[in-house]
Amino acid sequence: MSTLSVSHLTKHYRIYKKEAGLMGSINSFFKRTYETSKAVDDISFTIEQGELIGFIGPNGAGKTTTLKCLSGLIYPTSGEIKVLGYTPFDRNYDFLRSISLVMGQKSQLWWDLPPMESYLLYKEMYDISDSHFKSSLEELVELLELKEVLHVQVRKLSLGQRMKCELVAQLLHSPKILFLDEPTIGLDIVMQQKIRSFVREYNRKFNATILLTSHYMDDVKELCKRVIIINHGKLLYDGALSDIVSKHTQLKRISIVFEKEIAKSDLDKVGVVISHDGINSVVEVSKDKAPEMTSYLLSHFPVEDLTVEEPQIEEIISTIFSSEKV
Amino acid sequence: MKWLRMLGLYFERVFEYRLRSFIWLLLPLTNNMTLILFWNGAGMNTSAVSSYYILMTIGGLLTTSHVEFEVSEIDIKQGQLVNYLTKPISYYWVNFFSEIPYRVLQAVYASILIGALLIFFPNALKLSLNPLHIPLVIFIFVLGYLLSFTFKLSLAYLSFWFKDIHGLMELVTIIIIIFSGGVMPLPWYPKILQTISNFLPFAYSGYYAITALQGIVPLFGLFSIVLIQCVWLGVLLFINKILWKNGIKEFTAVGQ
Amino acid sequence: MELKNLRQLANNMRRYIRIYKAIIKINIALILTYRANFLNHIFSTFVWGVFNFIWITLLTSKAKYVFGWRGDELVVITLGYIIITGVYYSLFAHNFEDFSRIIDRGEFDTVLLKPIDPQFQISMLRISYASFIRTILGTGVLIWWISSHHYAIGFFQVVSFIILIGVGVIMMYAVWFIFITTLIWYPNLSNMVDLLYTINGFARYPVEMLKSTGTTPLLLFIPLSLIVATPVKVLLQKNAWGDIFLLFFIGAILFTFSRVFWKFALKSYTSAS
Repeated sequence: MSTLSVSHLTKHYRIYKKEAGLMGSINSFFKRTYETSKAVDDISFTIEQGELIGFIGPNGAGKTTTLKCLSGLIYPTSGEIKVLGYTPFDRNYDFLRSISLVMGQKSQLWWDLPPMESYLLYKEMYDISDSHFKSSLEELVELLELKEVLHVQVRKLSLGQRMKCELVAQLLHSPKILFLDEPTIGLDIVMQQKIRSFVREYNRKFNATILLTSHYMDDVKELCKRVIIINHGKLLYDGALSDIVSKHTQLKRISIVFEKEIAKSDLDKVGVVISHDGINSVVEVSKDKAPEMTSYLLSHFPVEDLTVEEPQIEEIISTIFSSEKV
Repeated sequence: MKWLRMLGLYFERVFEYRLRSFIWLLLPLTNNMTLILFWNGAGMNTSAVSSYYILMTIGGLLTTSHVEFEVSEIDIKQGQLVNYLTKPISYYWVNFFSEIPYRVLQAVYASILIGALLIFFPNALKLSLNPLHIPLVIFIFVLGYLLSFTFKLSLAYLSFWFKDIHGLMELVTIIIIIFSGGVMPLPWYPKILQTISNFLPFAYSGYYAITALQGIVPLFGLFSIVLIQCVWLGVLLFINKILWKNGIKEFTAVGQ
Repeated sequence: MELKNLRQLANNMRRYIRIYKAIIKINIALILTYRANFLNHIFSTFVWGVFNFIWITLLTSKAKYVFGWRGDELVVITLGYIIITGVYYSLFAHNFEDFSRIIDRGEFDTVLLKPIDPQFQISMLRISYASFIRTILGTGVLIWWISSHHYAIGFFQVVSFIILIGVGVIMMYAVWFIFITTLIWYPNLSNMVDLLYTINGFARYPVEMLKSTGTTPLLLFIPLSLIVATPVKVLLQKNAWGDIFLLFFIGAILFTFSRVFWKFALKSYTSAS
């Protein structure tokens, strides 16, 4: 049995629409108009224990809604979910003790107190034994290098430190499944890197199942072998990140700078001309033809500079989003 | 034009929170209705009593400013004030206009409620206002609001110096309730409290405005109300200006 | 089977007591970090208590006899009100202020993710120690008032008074909680708590006041006006059996209803939000 299985999950919302401007306000004062939006539309997937999965999609794609369904916060319109054998929406306390949902922008720590005070309260809330609490806290504090800030008021911590403290609070009870919603949002590059390596380490060390959403493709690229891509509530892709990359890297791009102006028609037999202004050109060719075409260009044209590139992962993803297919 | 557009924006915000503002209306209404019931039980079931409390509700809604919390907590303590300092507009007037929609909406709600009330209890409200005095009474209400607004704003400015003034604010709220006839009509108070009230500005915000509205004040009395209101407004504006000038220095010096 | 359930219940109780101990501690820590805020709180609690006293003194200076209560007896109701609200505000009211903020900011999810009862979390997490000042103040003045007015009060009256005050606190909790629950549907009504503080004021007056109106909307607030008037009636040896029955009866109904209503709201939150 898989750790987590989702079949035909669907969630519809009613959204309140407000018209713009003062007249709009007055209109909606008397009558509110609603419309239905399909936040999640017939999604199915399964996840095994210990997997670290990237869950990607543009804003409003339905990522957070799916995570909320998985953690039992919202009741699906239809479809079935099983997490560790539980139905999340029952919000069984044993189920809640085995998961954690970390939302990057929402704080659960007591703002006016040092994080340690909140941890002690969570210890009782999650019914964590003294010994477990001690070892778990020690381990997390060391992994995240938090020793000095445990006794500093949360409001005085930097955003990065706060996020780390937040993570500790969410992990004290050693959840088997971790849902991370934008854990690196708003953090600087160094801190992003630290959180990333922590997530990897946590996954490896505790064999925890982690489902991660992120705006930053770097998070996903570095951490996740498998990705699930959704847009407009629909599942577009579920599989290895490397597969989708290699599928989209059947093409290479050759950028050329010529010494003098070249007619666009001369380049048509090389490949698909993406851009051309006489001097600078970008031509797309299939992967196996790339060497041949490069030497053809070098021998037949006055080339000043030439580079061959693969498309970036961000580009691939955004092509998928805009074309709605993989 | 600039102010007009701002006013439009503020009205939009108010409409977003129509239910919220309805609750703000219920607070004084509940309180004052309870008092009418109380006097009923004490055998004072006169339309003078009910008129007084009904008008106090409206007077309070129209003339009491609630500017203090946002200025003290959000603008000064959380530092949002910076956003205003970089714009070429007067902070005093920004706050003044941002509150007007609330007062207007409350007045609309209040008129509807009181209209409904009068259908069931036609004797509950008694006005004997001379129509010729109406412009003057409106002027008294405007001055009353300005008094309350300037006072509350000045109070909020104390946040420039003190970390936590909410205890003081509560105390002031209580003092205002007592000395502006919030418990019962001022002539019913013990002599000593009446005398103190005469030397404080609070009754000149709502209380005298509603006595003017009731039509129990002669023309000469109306003018003396306006005169005293103007004197108090002058004093408060002066204090407000000094507090602002020094407070801003304090604010920028701390480098919020 | 029975025994096993009983043991489970006992374990559960012990667990919640442990959690509450941690809550007591974390709230003390909060005071220590914000001493100025704590002092401000004590001060404002104190002045509001005094204000309630001035208020009734002013009213009774003009009204000597109201709904069968003498002026000095009305003062006792206000003192009872000060005592009860002291207990209630310190244990519950501030939690509801927090709740409206939590709802307004959309942080209610974090409450639902914890493996403990959501109602417990939103009603118990915050303790306002400063509000106890009211109870102390009220009790002090009450003792002085009783002895200076030579009421005949026995041990039985005092004990019943205290017990009924406890019941009153539970009733007040139920009423507030029912109101607060509606925030789940109307999150931007975050000033609901201000309204509750105001309608709480019905408890400062004799229950006969609302009964006399006979109009339905106001009769809805009778539960609130039973809260203080009933224990005070017992204390002053007025005829109170009917009100005592009502207090227990309506209290039980409201408390049960508040729980059911809350569960219903949770269901609607999680399926609609």
